[in-house]
Amino acid sequence: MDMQALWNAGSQSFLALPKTLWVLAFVLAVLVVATAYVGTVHLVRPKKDIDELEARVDTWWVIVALVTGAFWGGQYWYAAPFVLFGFISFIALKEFFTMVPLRHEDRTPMFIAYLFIPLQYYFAAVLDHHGLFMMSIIVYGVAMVAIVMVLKQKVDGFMVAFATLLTGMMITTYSISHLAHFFALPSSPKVPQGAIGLVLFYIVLTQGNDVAQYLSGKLFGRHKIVPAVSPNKTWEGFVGGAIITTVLGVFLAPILTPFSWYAALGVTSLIATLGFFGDVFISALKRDMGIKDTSKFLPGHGGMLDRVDSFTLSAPIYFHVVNYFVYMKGGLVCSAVSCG
Amino acid sequence: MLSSLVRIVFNAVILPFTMWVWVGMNVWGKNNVPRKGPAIVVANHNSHFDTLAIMALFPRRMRSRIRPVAAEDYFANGGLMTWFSLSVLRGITIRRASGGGLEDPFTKCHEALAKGDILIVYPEGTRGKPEVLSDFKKGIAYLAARHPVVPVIPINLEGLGTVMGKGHSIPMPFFCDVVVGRPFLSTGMPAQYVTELKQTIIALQDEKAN
Repeated sequence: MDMQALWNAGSQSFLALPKTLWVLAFVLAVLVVATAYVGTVHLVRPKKDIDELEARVDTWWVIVALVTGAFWGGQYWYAAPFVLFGFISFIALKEFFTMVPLRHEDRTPMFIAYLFIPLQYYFAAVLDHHGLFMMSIIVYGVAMVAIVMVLKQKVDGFMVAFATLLTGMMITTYSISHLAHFFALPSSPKVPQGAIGLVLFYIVLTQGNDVAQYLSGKLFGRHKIVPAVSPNKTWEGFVGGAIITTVLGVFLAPILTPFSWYAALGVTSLIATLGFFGDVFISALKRDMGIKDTSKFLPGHGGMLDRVDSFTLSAPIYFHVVNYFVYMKGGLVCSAVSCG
Repeated sequence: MLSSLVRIVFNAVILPFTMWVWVGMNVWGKNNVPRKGPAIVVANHNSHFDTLAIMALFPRRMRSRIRPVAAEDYFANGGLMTWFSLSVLRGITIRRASGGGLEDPFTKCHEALAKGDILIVYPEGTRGKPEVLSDFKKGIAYLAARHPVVPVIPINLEGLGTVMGKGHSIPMPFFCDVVVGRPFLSTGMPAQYVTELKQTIIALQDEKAN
């Protein structure tokens, strides 16, 4: 075989790679640049304290490695993405229970809340249980927590404790499990990039939106949006971030999703707006509890809940919008799922 | 034999899983964890899990050199608890009741330190009420005075009484806080020594603000 034929074969097999891998390569390139920056600062200005940034970049490597392993590993071990998101929910719920003032008597319902994590992710993984996935926490979770709490017969602070327990289940387990549920949807010619593309699109845009809003706020920020909750959030940051995210979204949509450009416009502005509100929602909870970080689980970032705060509100809505407009339009989910 | 086998599995797998995955630990002052023995680690006490939290701070290979100092009347009365604390965790028992014998109650502690082991001492003497610091017993001052070159490392633990306090049957997942201080030094007499030590351990909480 001559060199020209070899070159052609090589470039063709590169182009034949799934488009999702291009985005992965882009993410890895960003990380390499960040790591090179940290290394250069160490060499050029050894006295400068960049431990926090270094820890942050190192942690990003671990996150990207785990997400990559779980998403693409899912082709070989079906449970992989469900285990990853279940673990994220577990750490987030643990942080939530650590920061809220629950009573000694609430240990048993708390344990039930933890038990609903494997249950919810089992339902998320089995498409036949789509109905249970949607309602088990809201219906059975609420009932079980109520029953166990009543049997404890401790009425002082009952209502606050009950509401707190349900909030914890909703914003950590119920919400985040929707991202895993994408991996259980049937493969469809309408979604050639599959669940990997849809979830990667969502995660890259949501995390990118955090960064874009932060940078845009640093550069142009003047008018505060919700100063009592989060004094660093500005209108300029929000709008500038949303614009950057939308541009990125319209660019990424044809690579990762089946969205047309105007659908991408809608979904992306949804992700940017709800991501912002999820962020300040968790900030409000933390401010009420008088804490800055939910834990030190992710070195350089803070806690898991700090990292996934922008997911808490938008994940179920993103799932619903995609499911409604992409899958259900042709009756796909309803024909593939017994809807029970 | 069996206890050595259990110890290897416990130190390498069960302990890190329990303390870093099931329970979570937010650690401040990780660089103050001694890199070699002998050393005396002193901490406030609320839970049986306090010992596991301190052991989890150390690298795996050092964990078998850690010797929790435990009350003889509670830990040496037979049963699974005794086997686990003394044979697997290599606990050293001392008599809690004072007075009487002429024998030095710390004989086994001196031997362990001479071998380069790391002692864990809870000067409160008991787990007490969750998140309430009781007065310190003076034993630690006598022990430290006998070993002037052995560093005394103060540790502040918070939240483990909620994870697994008195009367709890299963460890509930919660993040707990662990603050490791710099080696404690005091030239005071025992009463003053323990007062200063207690103040040092309380003051470690301020580290969390950073």
